Amino acid sequence: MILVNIESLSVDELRGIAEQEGIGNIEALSREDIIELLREKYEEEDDSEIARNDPNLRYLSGITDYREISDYVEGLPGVEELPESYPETEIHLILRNSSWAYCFWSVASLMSDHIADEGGSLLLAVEIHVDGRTETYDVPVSMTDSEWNIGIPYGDGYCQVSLVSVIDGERRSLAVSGRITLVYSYWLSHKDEMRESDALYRIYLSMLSSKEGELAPSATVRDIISAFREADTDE
Amino acid sequence: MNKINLILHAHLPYVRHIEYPKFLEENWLFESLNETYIPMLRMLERLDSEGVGYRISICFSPTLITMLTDPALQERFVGYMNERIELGEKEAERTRREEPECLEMAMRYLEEARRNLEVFQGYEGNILTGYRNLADRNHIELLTTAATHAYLPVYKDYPTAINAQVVMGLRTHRRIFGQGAKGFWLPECGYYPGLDKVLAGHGVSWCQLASHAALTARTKSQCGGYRPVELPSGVIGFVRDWSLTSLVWSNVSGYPCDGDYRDFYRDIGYYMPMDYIRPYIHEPEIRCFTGYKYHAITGKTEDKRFYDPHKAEEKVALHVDNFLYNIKRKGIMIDASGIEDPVFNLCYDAELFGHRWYEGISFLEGVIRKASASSDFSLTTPTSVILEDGRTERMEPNESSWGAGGYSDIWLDGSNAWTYRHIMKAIDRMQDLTHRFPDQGSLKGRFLNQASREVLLAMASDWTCIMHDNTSVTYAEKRLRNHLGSFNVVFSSMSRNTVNTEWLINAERRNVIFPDIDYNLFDPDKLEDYS
Repeated sequence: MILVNIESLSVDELRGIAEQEGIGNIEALSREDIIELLREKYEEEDDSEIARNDPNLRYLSGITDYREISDYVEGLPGVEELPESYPETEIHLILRNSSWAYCFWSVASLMSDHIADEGGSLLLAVEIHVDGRTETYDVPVSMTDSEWNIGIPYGDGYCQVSLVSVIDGERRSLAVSGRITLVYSYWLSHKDEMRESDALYRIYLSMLSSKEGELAPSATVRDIISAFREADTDE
Repeated sequence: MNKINLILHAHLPYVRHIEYPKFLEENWLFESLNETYIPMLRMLERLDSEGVGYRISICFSPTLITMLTDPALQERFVGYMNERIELGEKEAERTRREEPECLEMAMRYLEEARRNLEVFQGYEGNILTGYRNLADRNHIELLTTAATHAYLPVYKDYPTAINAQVVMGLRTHRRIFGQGAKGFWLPECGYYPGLDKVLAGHGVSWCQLASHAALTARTKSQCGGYRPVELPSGVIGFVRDWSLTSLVWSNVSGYPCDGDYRDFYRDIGYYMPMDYIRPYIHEPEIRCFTGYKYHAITGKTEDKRFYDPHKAEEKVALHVDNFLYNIKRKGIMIDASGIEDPVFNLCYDAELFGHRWYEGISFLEGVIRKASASSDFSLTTPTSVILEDGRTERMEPNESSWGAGGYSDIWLDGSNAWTYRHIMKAIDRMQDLTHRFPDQGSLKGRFLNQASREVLLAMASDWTCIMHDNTSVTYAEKRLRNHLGSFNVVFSSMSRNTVNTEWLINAERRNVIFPDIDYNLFDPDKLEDYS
């Protein structure tokens, strides 16, 4: 459910997702193995009747598709097909979580035809400005691609992506996304203070752990709490 | 003293299909009215009449209050209730004859339906009057939320759309309740740095924040969310307490999971013979909830035992005590850590109580009664905390939400990411229309206003959430396409500088929402005027 174009992701991206999903021994797995394992994982989640019958589901999560047959709503007024693409060349970047941003773009057909006619290609030029450093890298994409997941780090800074055409080795920026602010956590940047912050750690933990000891489901929470625990262990 | 901010969020997406004699998704509203909004009002009025001193906060979303004050939907609710009552009378006879174990509950449902209808009609169909009366008596702080409950962080590159969601949320609240709201419920607790500035610009005093906002903040939090936080704009944030909220909302051990409580899913609409149940389900023979449910959760088994309301009542009393015990125990720990008079912010969807958790209203009543009578607790509201206490901690939270993962994964995943391409294009084009056709009156103004309504309705977080949850996906997708398609009708007509009058009249009849909208809200050059 979480993935977009799973086959189009790089091995590094897939490993990052697999790690988040709790799949172990990632380094030893091939790209195909990771894709297969992720697919199985998401199919399991989709099929989970237990989750569906959870009495505590939020209202919208628990609303009922009474019909379960799409034919009955075909007659809704105003329904029409949406265009597959729009005539403007543009690119958008949205923060999805602390590790990933979602990027989508469109290329005007005239521009697209021109690039194809010239035997050119497209790429995403990713710029990440974090903690005073700048990292840049390219992600080659096909002319039919229109979305991508961009891995992002924690830190003080931002990420921006440009859609670039490459014709005869010459790069031309077609569109630039807005900037997304990276997740900067005070505690992840000040781990040295953790050892002296035992009382604060207990306060945080009391807010974010259930009576069974489960942590609130957030990778950032897990990362910070783990760092606190490690600092405590170091002591 | 442990300060408890109980903040309930009542929201449903705008669903209104008067063009059909009956429309199943309208039952979302009718079920919530019969099982949550009216029973909760009755409970709160009862406490008031008994002199129980309590304060809670309730957010009624603009889409919900629009539906609750819609005469056509009010009329249809009466029809829905009359059917429930007729079915209840049949059920009383049937259970007396065939299933005596279920008779007590059949009678109870029937009596509840009669009483709820009476209350509804007593308010001439508008139960919000009752809630407003309680607000006037200082029991409830009423707050609002984004116009169509858009998940705002994903739209932060579109300040006009964010502004329109905030403005129309506040404006709708004022139009229907007759007074402004100081509090603004961030849909899905969705915050991004800078959003508070928009809220401050419109006079909002406070909002709620996700539970992890304090721990993961850009600045060091010394109070961990147990004291109100001052956001960079001066708006006060109240951090939701995940630990205490989970006592109710955990899908592992939350109170509503108790085997003695009534099962939500086992409804006679799904298992009684078709000849019997046909008049009370949807044509053509589509089974649906009727509200008549006789089984207890029992456990993770298909073999459910009959529900025993007396056993459930005892369990409610235990859970009320356990809930307050946990708050008190936690208060002692927090106080010992140097944070005096901690504030516990307990945020829930209102529909959890009564609708999904049948005993939830009794639980709330028990919590309110016991907390009000105890010197250990103070049931309060965020505005009261700000005015009466004033101690805050400055904080700069990151982008965050209460969704799984803590960010935007629910509303931006493989099932729904495609929607943003279209919604954002519609916002772009709406902005473009405001430049090409500024300050239009009469027919063109109405046409453009309708376009802005459609954009707002398309932005609702409900559609992407439903897609993620894989529940009523077809309906959600159709609705989204409907709104975007309707917007495109205006865009293409205005591109030819024409107005499709017949379409406009039908569209205005179809979506009777935001009568006071002004499409110029989407003009980027006029943004300053609104903020």
